[in-house]
Amino acid sequence: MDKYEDYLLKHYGRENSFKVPDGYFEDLAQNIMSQLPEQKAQIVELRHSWSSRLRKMVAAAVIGIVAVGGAYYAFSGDDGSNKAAVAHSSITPTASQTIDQMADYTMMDNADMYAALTDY
Amino acid sequence: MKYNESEILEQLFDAKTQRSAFAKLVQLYSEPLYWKIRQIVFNHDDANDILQNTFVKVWSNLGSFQNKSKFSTWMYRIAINESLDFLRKQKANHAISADEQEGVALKLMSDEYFDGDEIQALLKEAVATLPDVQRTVFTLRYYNEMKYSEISEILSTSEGALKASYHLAVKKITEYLHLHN
Repeated sequence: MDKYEDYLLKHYGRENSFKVPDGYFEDLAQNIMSQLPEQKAQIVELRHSWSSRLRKMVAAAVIGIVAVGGAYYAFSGDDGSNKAAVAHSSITPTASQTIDQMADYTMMDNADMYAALTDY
Repeated sequence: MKYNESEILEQLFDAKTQRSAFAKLVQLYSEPLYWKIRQIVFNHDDANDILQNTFVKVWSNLGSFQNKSKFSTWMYRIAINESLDFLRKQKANHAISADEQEGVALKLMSDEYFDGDEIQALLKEAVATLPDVQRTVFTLRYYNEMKYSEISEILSTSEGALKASYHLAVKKITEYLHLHN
């Protein structure tokens, strides 16, 4: 065990010093449900891992095709010189950060997100 | 009544049973989620608000759940993110009204929903000096005794990074306590 952690546990402990108002947990579920907006029910599809793998493969294939096509275009030329065409990502840093935040909430891989964006 | 998470998730498919299934999830997870949030933000009213917001977000984003992790892990993730957002806003507000700042330990000792002694209040004050994510890692590990693998799933951070963060947190807290005790 970490010596600092050992010190904390020995002198300060880790018990929960917080408490709640009387009856808080008894009423909690009902209070929460009453706060939920009435909405058209979303049909939640439990996507199984095999379809998730398939989507990743499709996303990777799309990115691969775009990358190969871009490289072919950049380096094609009669004089045989290497044009220093740099393949830029079409995703700006700002959009990438937004996608990271979205990925956090939806647990979607970035590859899936970027693949979805190539549809627009 | 004990509910099975996978059975409840199946009921979430069906528009007719979706709301009742969600009510079961709320019953199952509201208390553990509450305590995760409370340990991070300290104040009961704040924790209650964050918990409500968490479930509203879960409900509103049900369609985007990908089943790449457990549903409970997804909910914990939303709860932690809501808690972190709250801490950031709270710090921004305190920066505006710095003259109203009160020591965390002092505030806790006067809080009717804090049952600890001065030593425990001082520990909380030391925790509050940590950067937000480090504070969260420390809280989940020290107070909730979560495994690094579990924290890693929630925060999407490697176990190695979490261990390093926790070690630093514990060191800083110990130094703070030596200075102020």
